[in-house]
Amino acid sequence: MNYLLPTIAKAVVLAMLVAMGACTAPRESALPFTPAERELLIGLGLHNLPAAPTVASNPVADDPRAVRFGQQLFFDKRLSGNGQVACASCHKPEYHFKDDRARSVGTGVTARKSMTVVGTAYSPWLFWDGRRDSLWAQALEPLEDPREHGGNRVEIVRTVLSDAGYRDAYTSLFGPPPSADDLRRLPAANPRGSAEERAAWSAMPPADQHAVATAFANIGRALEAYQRQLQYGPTAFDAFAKALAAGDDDTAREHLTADQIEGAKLFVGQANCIHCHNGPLFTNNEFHNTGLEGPGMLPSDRGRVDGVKMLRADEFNCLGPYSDATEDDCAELRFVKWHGIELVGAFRTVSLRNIAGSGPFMHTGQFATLAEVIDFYNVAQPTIISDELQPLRLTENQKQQLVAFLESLSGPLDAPASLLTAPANAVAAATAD
Amino acid sequence: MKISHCQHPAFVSAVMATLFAAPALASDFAPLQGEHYQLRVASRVSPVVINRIHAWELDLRDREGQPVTQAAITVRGGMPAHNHGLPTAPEVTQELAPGRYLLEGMKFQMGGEWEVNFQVDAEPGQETLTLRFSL
Repeated sequence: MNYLLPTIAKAVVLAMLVAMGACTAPRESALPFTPAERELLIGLGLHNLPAAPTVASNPVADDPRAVRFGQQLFFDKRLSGNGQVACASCHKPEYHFKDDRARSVGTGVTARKSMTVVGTAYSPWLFWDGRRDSLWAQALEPLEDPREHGGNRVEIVRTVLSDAGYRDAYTSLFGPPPSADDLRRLPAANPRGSAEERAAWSAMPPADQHAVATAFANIGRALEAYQRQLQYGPTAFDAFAKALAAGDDDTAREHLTADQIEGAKLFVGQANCIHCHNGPLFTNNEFHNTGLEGPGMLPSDRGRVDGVKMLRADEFNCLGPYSDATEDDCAELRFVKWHGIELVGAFRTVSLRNIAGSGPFMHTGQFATLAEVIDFYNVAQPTIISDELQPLRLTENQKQQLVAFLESLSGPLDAPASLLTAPANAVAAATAD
Repeated sequence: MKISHCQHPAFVSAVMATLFAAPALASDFAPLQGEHYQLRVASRVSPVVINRIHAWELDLRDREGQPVTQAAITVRGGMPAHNHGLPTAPEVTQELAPGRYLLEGMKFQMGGEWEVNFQVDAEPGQETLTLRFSL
């Protein structure tokens, strides 16, 4: 049978590895993994991570000028209704580019916890519910959300293009922006704002709406260019995985503690973490209902099932009028799963890199510590929506080993130090704390 | 020195990199034989890996080996052990040549045992063929 072929191939290699181990390896040097466990652990190593996917919908995604411009915008509090909120207010560089609140606080209290922006260049979906499909489209939504930046679309564009430095940066990247006169005559308008702002937006001529939305989208493109630079760097686990890939168990052992090694075995085995936290970023970036509401309960936050509706209706999506992508570039959106019970109360799997000490965890900060998260999965039951979860039945010692393993996944970011703080030439009074 | 000549790291590394690098599957599958149809399935991405959206090509023939044209092919799938479906909604988007169809939107978000069901409706009859494989 065709589906047996990989199994047969693995069996052959298993026999080879057993033979190799049997012929020489001193017993004390072999780590306690099966060939299948080794395969999975090696696959989690950062050395397997390819370059971030290119962004067909953003021609300046990798332009260094856009990176600099985006960094300035990221830390600029003027991009908010009250002049007090920047992207960096809830995506704090010193806190893994997220924050330590269960629900983030901008101009109001948000519905969910802020997510890190690190490593998101690899995700086809953004936000907990995946309602945006690019980093540039994602960057726009908080700017005009009444609970986040509380800005309005016209005012954000006017603020950015009224700054001489920003206007020059914008022009060099995207061509001439709307004129100062044009911007002055436009009302404070926002298709997603208050009733008054929505009415003002509806009353604007389509040409004005398009010009403002185009400039708004380009602001998002600069923000994406900056955020794409924020990547995870190698950790103790990655040194371990590299040594494992080289067949050097002795070196591998030097990088993790005995508990962490046992935790690694649990991670790819009994604890089932690898089902969703897979690949070198420890996430499949897909959506799962993990039964946080408890057995027999319907989720109050419907997550992906609502998010995918917003995604398909989003004017800034891959197929929308403000995207430079072709249909061929938009396979994720064209073939997105948009209905089905398993989308109800489903949220995006987060990366486990740099997860230690970055709580609270889950989409509304349900758990303060990783130990609490593991306690939850240890007793989690199938829900009326999903059969995916079964109680792990780990012992206290095993739970601690799993936490110890997760602590081996942290390390400095792979980004220039100059990008990890507010830019030196930021407007002093307008930068984030 | 704890590693001997027959466990040379380079040799071990080559073996591991070839077959144990990450959940992956060669892009060609053995043909599926049903009552009415023979279906050959091949991925346009080789090897098939998790977390990457990609396209497959389907070659549909009748019992006499003749291409079956203008078939309606509906594709579903999932992981029986986890009781969940595919993360995407794949579709046959065009007939590239007589009996050769393009299937877009294939993606697998986990390693493990998968099933993909091809419900074929064409002149010879309606039939569902099932492909099973491990990633």
